[in-house]
Amino acid sequence: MATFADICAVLGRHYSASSARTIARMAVRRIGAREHAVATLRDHDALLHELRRGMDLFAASATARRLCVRQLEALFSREGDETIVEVQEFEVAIVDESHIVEARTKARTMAAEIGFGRTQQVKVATVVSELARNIYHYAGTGVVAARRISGSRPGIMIEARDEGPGIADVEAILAGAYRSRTGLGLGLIGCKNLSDELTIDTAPGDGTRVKVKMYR
Amino acid sequence: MRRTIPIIKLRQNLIVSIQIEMTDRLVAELKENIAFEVRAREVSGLVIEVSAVDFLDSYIARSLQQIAKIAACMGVETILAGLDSAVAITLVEMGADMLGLETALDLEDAIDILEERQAESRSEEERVLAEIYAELEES
Repeated sequence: MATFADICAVLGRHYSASSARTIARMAVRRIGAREHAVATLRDHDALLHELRRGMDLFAASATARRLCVRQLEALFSREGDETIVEVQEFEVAIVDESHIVEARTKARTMAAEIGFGRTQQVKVATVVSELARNIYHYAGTGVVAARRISGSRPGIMIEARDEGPGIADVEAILAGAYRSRTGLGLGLIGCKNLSDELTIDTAPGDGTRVKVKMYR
Repeated sequence: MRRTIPIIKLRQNLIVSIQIEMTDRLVAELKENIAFEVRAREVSGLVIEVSAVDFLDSYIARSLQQIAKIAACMGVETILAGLDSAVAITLVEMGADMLGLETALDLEDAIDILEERQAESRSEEERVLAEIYAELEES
């Protein structure tokens, strides 16, 4: 269920943390709800309407606003019934360059099986390719795996894990402030832009774990 | 059999049609081969035809841009032809657009554009030459 914090998190991908909180707080207040009770809301249309009004007041590109609305809709529509299937569809150990191709080919096949459209299949394959490439270039070796998301909105959860050097300033990279010669920045931002949800768990010397969710 | 991407010369232009899955090794190889061929075969245009490419990530996209820049360093202009719609959408949404790379709908369009420009620059050359001759004759 979507909590107040979840809404802030989605907004926070496109707005500063304080703007995100303000937008969320105003919207919740305007529909006469309470922050701690957001998760129990049945009807999200009014909330989404108010969130959009708030989003228009704060600076963000039209593309970012559109993307943000889509992600909020995704957040609300999978209300409760989302489960991530235990069994992995595939797992590819990334050791050499050919495994990047193997991972993205498997991802594409899986996306097609779940019923993703052609453009979405390309997007899934691209995300997997970027993640596998980051492992290959920065960590040397690692694993890319995928599982199905079942529920009213089926999708794919992709996981990329490595024991590499980790990333020091993830926030800066995702904000687009940092761009390496080899393109790590673009790769991760690209994944973020193409997916519905992306979380990174990393620290210098502690490897990197990226989880990406993409819904049909 | 080792798979490579053939580079074909057609009049003043080189045509590279990518019909196989792009691995990183293949992309790197292509970069070198094109640079070599551009130099060796004295062409003035390059078309990279990608209608059969159903996947491009940021690395491959950047490599194609680099190929165009390398060609530009040698006075050759590059046109990317036939980009697939799903690939184009994905590239733009991820923020890895083909900025700085000229594009055409298909191979035919690309060749038309290049040959038209080449004809223009030829007639410009002839005009300048004619002027020089005229001046020489006068003096």
